[in-house]
This record gives sequence, C-alpha cells and structure tokens, in this order.
Amino acid sequence: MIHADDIKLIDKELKKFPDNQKRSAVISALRIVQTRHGWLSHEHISDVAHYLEMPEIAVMEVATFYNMFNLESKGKYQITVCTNISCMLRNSDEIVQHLEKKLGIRFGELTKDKKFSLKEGECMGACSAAPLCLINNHTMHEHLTTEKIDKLIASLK
Amino acid sequence: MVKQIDIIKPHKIFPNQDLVCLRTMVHDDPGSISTYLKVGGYEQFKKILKKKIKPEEILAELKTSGLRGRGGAGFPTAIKWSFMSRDYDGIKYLVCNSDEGEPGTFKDRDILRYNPHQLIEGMLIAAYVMGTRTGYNYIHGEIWREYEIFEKALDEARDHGFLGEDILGSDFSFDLYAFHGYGAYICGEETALIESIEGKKGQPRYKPPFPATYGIYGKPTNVNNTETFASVPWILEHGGQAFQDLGVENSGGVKLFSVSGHVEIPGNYEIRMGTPFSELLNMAGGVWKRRKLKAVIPGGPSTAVVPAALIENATMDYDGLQKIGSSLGAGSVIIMDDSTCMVTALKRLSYFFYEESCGQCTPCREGTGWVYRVIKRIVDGKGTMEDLDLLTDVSKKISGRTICALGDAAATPVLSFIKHFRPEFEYFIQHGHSMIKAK
Amino acid sequence: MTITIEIDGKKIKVEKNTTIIAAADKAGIPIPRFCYHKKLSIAANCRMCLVR
Repeated sequence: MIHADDIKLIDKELKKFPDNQKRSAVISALRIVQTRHGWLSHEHISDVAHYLEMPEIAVMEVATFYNMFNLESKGKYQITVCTNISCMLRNSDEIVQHLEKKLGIRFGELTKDKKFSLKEGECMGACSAAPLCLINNHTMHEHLTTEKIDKLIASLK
Repeated sequence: MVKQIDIIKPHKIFPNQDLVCLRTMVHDDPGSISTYLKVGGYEQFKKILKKKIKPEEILAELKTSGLRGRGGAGFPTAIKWSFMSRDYDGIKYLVCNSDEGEPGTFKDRDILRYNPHQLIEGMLIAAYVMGTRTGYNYIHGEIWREYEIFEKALDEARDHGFLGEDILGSDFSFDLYAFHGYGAYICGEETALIESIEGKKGQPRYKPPFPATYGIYGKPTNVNNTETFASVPWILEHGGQAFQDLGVENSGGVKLFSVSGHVEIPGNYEIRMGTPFSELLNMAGGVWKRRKLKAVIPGGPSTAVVPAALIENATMDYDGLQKIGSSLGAGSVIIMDDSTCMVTALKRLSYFFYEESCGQCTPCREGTGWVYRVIKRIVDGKGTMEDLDLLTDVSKKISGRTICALGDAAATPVLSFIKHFRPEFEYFIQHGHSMIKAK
Repeated sequence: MTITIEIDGKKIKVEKNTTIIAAADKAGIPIPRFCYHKKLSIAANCRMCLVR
C-alpha cells in the first residue's frame, strides 16, 4: 500500500502531465515511495504500477534503469560518493578509503547495524565542490575532508 | 520546506566579466524573483506580449547573435527553433535539458540556483516563438536542492502571473513544470530525455524523426540546454549583434566554462568566447599547489584530451578547440597536473561510459564493456602491447556505428589518451605499474 | 517499378522500395543480421547489418 501522504505527492506530480499519460509520473512516484522506505521492494513496484495503471514490468524497467533507485534494502543512511574524473582528481579515493575504514564496509555493502550503506556514484554535476557525497539521494555534502567525514558520520544518528 | 540557500558566491566575480546567465550573482539573494526583476528581468517577455512582436523578428535576432546550443552539440539555436513548424496547430512541447551529466559540468546547476528566472523567461520567449503550450525542465536527480529551488522559482513566477493561462492579459498561455531524472547520464541525449519524460527507460530513439517532428507523446518538441534558454533574454535586451560581438566568428557571445580538477579555484567562469585558455586558467587561480599543467579535457570527457603544450596557446571557442584536435563540447574544462596517471584516468572514464551505456545497441553495450576490461587488465598489471591496438580498434568500431552519440563519446577519450600519452600506457604494460610516482 | 542497384560491384535489378537487406539476399550476397526478421518491426539495435 502506498502511504496516504505519498499519494498526495504523487497526485501533485500527475498534474504536470496529460490525464492519459500517468506513466510520466513513474520516476517521481518511485522516488517518493523510496524516500519513505529506503528502497523499492517488488510490492512497492506493484503498488506504483497499480496506482499509475501501468504494467508491472514497465515500472520494473524504470526501477532497474535509473541508478538512484535501490532494489535492495539499504542502510538508514545511504552514502553515495562520486568517484568520476573531477572528483578523482581531487582525492575522492582518499575519502572512499576513509569511509571504508571508518564504517568497515565497501561499496554495495551495509553495516551490521544497518545504519550505513556505501554506494559508488557517477558525476553529480557539482564538480567545483569535489570531493563530495550524497546522503539518501537528498543532501549533498561538499568539499569533503576526512575531518568533515568524521563530523558527518557522528551527526547521523 | 526549502531552507534558504547559502548565498556564498562560489568564486570571485571579476570586474570586467561580461555576465549574461550569471548576471544576478553580483546581488544578494541572486535566485529570487525580486532580484531578477531588479536587473530588468521579464521586461523582454513583457515587451514581446505588449507589442505583439512577431516570432520571425525574435528568430532573426537570435540568428544574428550566433547562439549555438550550449549543451555540447553547438547546433545554431535559431535554426533549431525554426524546425518547429508554426503552421502546426496541435499540441507542441518545450523542454529544457538540465540533465547535466557530462563529468566536469556544473554550469546549469548555477543557473538553476542563482538565476532560475532568467531560464524561465528564456523558455517563455521560446514558447512564444515556437507556439508551445507546455514545457518541462528536466533536472537530474542528484541535485535535489536545486530541483526544489527551481520548483520554488516556478511558484514565484506563477504568483507574479508570468506562467499559466492568458499571461498578463494576452492570448498567450504557457505552463512550465520541473521534471526530475534519477541517475542516468544517457538522459542528457534529447530523445532519451523525451523517453524519460514519457515514463520509460532513457533509451535514445532513431533520428530522424527529430523531436521537432516527433517528440513527447509523438508531438513536436524542441529541446535546448539550460544555458541556451537562459541566454535569450539578454540577447533580446541588447540585440543579437551585441551578443555576437562578445565572442568571435562562429562562436558568438559568452560561455559558462565549468573548470574543475587540479586548479586553485574550481568554479563556473562566464567569459567571452575566444578567450585564451591561459586567461581562463588564470581566473581559476592556475594549476593548484604550484604544480605543472599536464593535460586538459576542454569540453567534458566526450571531447579529446589535449596535452598542455597544445592547449597553452589555444582559444576557448568552437574553432579554436577544433584546431587543436578537440572540441568545445559543454565547456567542461578538466585540468590535470603532472601527478596524474593518464592510464588510471582513462580507466575511470571508460568505466563511466560502460556504466552509463543504455544497452540498446551492440557496439556501445559490448564495446564499452570491453574497453573498460582491457584498460583494467593493463592497470592490474596484466596488459600486453597488443592491448593498445585492440583498444584503438574497438573504439574505432564503436564510433559512428551506434544509435546515439554516447558510443562516439566513449571512443573519443580512448583514442585521444592513447594518441597523446602512449608512452605512459606502454610503461604501465611493461612494468605493471604507473609511470607516475606516488605524490 | 524496377530499379538497378550495385552491391559489391554486382549489378542487380530489384523492385523499387525493396530493402537493402532483401536485395542483398536476392543478389546472393547476404548481409549478416541478428535482430532483423521480415515479420518483426524494425529494432536495428544489433548493428550487425551496417554497410557502406
């Protein structure tokens, strides 16, 4: 079941498109559901398909295509670090190594207490702020240093 | 609820800078509608409605300006707009491409947060010229804060009566919505973007038919980059010739150059087309840590890498960069100092294209994977000399044989890195490690 | 209406609007293909049939 508050948000998105093109809201709908649950289970995908009157496979295609969607359970805080060229040139490797050591996990893994997961990201279009990371696809933390990482992790309860 | 954004100007605004898209940045609260109105914003649009200026006149001004698509393809904007048939009475769409996925590009993000209203006005003018009733601004998902900022700007514009039905008492109506992607570089390709808006995987379509014939839901659609639309109000205010005169032949106007990598002050620099590269590098504080310049990618990794010796005397415009064997692209200048291992850099770039391939056609889907695996085995110390010829061969077989330009974009770095830095690759193969000593 | 085309230097006559892939088959010079089938809509994504 899609949460009532999420239905309201999805309806707001649907208004942007013609009535017979509900499919256009699928990316937003999946994002809204994922924001609440942290990931998209088959049930969530079914729910969205049902609400937008789309075939389930069509929703599944979208969920697997766009790389910010999680099809597996993630940590309470998912940290996505860009390692593409401009971030790499500004020592994103060092940031990644520090995070791996600090959290005891590598890209694609979840901490034992399920609090943190790490993900490797591609260019996020903010390269003057490199190196950087995204928390739960929502908040960007820029100009990272090992000290900033320590403060950030400590602040995430 | 969007928190007030930090009004920290990301870098110094130089006193002689000709600001077009970033002209609000010299003011406090640059992204608000009150600031935009203060600098004369929306006046051009209001004038067009009041005087019922003919679309042909606006197109003529645009043609004189020499404005070329700022997303990377550099197609003359006036010509692109003229593809949208004004005789067609049915539904048409206008799209702004703010997907900005090319590594090293972050100019559109600054327009979205520091001058969203100039983008909105640019789109209003475009909608008027092309007769489009509905528009979407496709913003990539990683910059969530900027997406919310743009939604807020749209609300401001609506509250002021600049969007909606019968705008300002005219018979012109236009609704603009923000649409967000969620992690797909390929959606920067205009037909993939259209597929994405339709709620599908971002797999590019064949061209022809071009979006102006068959776009969103099969309707005529015009897609332009953020910076392209945002340049329009200034062009109408000062005239097309004034814009052209800021630049050089074949490259009219100013351009936002996103400078990143090994520089002291990474950031967006809006400068005249034709500005010498050395001047741009100077503005960005020069190579960081007093190191030496080794190589530059002038227009994003889809463009050829250029060794320092070749770019030092080049000018930043379409012809100037073509002369040195590269291209302007999106103007994403990635600076590499002499501590950069070109083999490792190419490995990361190849991984990017492999990850982002939509998978639709064989040369790209399989080719990018093979290119990455071959470079990886060189980096893992298992490469052979034949691998260099293999990489060149595979890249040449991807180029020109794919459904969209991502294939060409993947091939270009491989060919240019090996062309200019072959000794580094050979060293890596022979010794199993990089020629570059650790910093 | 019949037209004349040349494939690998060999001249053949085909009906106008015949596809190149069908014409080549007729000429006995079959072009490699993977995603094409005369009963399916055009996919053209295997890229195997590209010719100069």
